[in-house]
Amino acid sequence: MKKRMFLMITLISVTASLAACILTSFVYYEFYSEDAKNQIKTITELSKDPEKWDDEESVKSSVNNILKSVDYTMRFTIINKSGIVVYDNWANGETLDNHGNRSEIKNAFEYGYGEDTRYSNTISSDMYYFAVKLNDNRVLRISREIKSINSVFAGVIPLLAVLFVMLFAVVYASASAFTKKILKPVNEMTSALDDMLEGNNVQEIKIYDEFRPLSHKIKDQKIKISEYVDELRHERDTIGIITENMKEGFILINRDKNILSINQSGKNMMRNYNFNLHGSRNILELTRNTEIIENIDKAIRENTHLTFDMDTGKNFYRYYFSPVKEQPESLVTGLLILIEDVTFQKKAEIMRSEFSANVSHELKTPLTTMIGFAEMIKEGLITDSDSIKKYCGMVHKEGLRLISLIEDIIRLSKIEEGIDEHESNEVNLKETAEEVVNLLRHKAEDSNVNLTLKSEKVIMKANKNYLSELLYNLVDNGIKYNKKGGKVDVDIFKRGVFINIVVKDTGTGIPEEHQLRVFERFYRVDKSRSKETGGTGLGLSIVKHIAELYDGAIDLKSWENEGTQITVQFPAKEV
Amino acid sequence: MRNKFDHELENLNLELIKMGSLIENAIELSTRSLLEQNLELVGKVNELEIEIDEMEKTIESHCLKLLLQQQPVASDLRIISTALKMITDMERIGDNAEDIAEIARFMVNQKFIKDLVHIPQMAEATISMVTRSVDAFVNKDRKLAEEVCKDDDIVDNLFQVVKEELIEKIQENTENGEQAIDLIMIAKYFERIGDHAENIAEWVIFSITGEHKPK
Repeated sequence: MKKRMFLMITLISVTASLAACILTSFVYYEFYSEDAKNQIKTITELSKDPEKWDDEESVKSSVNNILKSVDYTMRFTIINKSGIVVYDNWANGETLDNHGNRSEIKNAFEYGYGEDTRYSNTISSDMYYFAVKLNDNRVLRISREIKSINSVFAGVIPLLAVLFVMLFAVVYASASAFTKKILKPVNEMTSALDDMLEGNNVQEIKIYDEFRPLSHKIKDQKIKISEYVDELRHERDTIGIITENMKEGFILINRDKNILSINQSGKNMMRNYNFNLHGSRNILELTRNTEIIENIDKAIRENTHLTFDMDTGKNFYRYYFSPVKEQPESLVTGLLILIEDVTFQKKAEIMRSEFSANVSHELKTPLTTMIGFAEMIKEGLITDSDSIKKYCGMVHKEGLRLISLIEDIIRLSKIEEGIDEHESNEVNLKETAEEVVNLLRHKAEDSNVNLTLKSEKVIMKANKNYLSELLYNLVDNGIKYNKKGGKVDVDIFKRGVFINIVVKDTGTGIPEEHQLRVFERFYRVDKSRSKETGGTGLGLSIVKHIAELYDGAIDLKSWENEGTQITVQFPAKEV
Repeated sequence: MRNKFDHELENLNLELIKMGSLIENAIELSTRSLLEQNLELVGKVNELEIEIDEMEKTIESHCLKLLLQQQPVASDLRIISTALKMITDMERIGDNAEDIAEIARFMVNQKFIKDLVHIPQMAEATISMVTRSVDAFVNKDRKLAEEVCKDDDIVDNLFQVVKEELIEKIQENTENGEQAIDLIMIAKYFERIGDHAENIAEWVIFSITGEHKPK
């Protein structure tokens, strides 16, 4: 635009000055030729006196006189009545042809004077002729070279060139200043627009009135665009936040298996924690697990949803593959991979199946014994009443064991469901513990175990039956798995915000490899001993569940052949 | 034109990663076939080895085609020449995995003369080296590649340990000789795999820096 404006201005000025020059030249030429003619006329009129042209002597002197007074040359010709040149200062008169036919001579003879402008071959230039009739019937003709308009121009050209250079310089300077001045607001608007588009300000741009609608339009558009951008950014951020905070791994890939999006969980689950999604990276760069890659290929190829579980050794991951389609009928454009950590479920599943196996086994064992003895009696293999009494006693004992087992299972499932059989009450732990100890004192004495209780007066809000159950199981275990002459100490106290129940025995202890598992249902440290002690394998499991019911924590310390110390710690809620 | 070339390079990259995952599988399966004395796995390793050989040929012709048609220069040329060298090492790893599986086939019905302790350790170390060298290639991770180079010493030391143990076993009872030789060969194959993994890691470093790792 600047260049264009500059060119226009220059062109206009140059054309204008050129036209001016040409016009001036024409006017000048008119002026000049008129003046030249007039001079000749005047000179000729003044020299009309025939005496000056009488003889050769006077002619020469008058010609010289006239020529002396001007700074250009003139041709003087005298022609007699018959048209013969009698004198010519440029040529010999005798060599010249008859001039009687020349229009200026003709007119001079007829009207007293005549004039003409002709191209002269003699001097190769335009000549102006003026002739006047002398009194003695001769004609005096004075002529002068008149420059042609072209030669006038030729003379002016150097001047014009100088003028052009000057003009050009002036025009250049003024044009650039001028365009700058015109363009300055436009430039300002451009930079203001830049500012505005970068979001620095959304100010009204001050500019020519003609541009105001444009600037308005731009401003409106800018506002609209930033609204759209904000909306999009918000949407993207929302989705980003959702996927980034998802516990599940989220990976989106396109048809070529290039990753479009992946969240941190996805990276973690692929064990590629620092995976960088720069540009397009193929899923192969994330994981080279054959199973995953094959399933991805299958899901894309067959355009179908797939699910499969993978065991990484530490965790179980469930992969969901869903083909992405823009329209229900169109081709697969990508694949959505969702990875769920199902370790907990898997482990629970394993535990459940173990549990049912254990339950059936535990229930079956006493029944087998009972059926065996009953069969022996039925078949009449045992006849003496002492033996019958003994075997019936064993059947009875197994029956009781079965019942206590079933009761334990029922109780455990109730605790697991978190059903409060009775409302929670303020329970005096000291009293409850005393009751439990009294219940078990007889058993302790039988096993030759010294049972002691040391308790502060602690009040806890809970179901008394549950607490009593908990204490009973702990103390019972302490007695059951003890040595002759051993002891069981129960200590209940409140420390800060916690209520601690500590049961310590000097029994067989739990080997280290079993310590983590003794709270599992039916878990037995020593399977062979279990019959002897009559436990169900559910005691500690019940303890654990009751403790969890009241947000308690259990700590187990045990040394083989030295004893076990179990601490149950409840948060002391304000009663 | 340029776009097409970039696309081809990207494909080459993916093919190399695929081949890398194939050799990872091959070593893992051959190791398991040995330790579990599992005949089925030996067959799988053989299949994988054939696939790896095929893959090598494919990648090689792909590289040559790129070299001829695109006449790459500078880093592009380096990537392609690195790829050509890497597949040779990868193919050798595949062969070694197959060799291990072949010996494992003979040992399926034998009782091991000793508990295998150090050979599984060697296997674990070499698998980790191969995996990380491929990882280093995938992520253009120079540091990881350098770590792999260092880890070759672990495998070499383990080889020495295995060797000494087996010598002891032979001295104990000459009947142990046959199996001891088989085991030492297996250990040697693992040691070779470690060397090849180190080579791959060195090629990765070369493709990143353009310089060979000073010995």
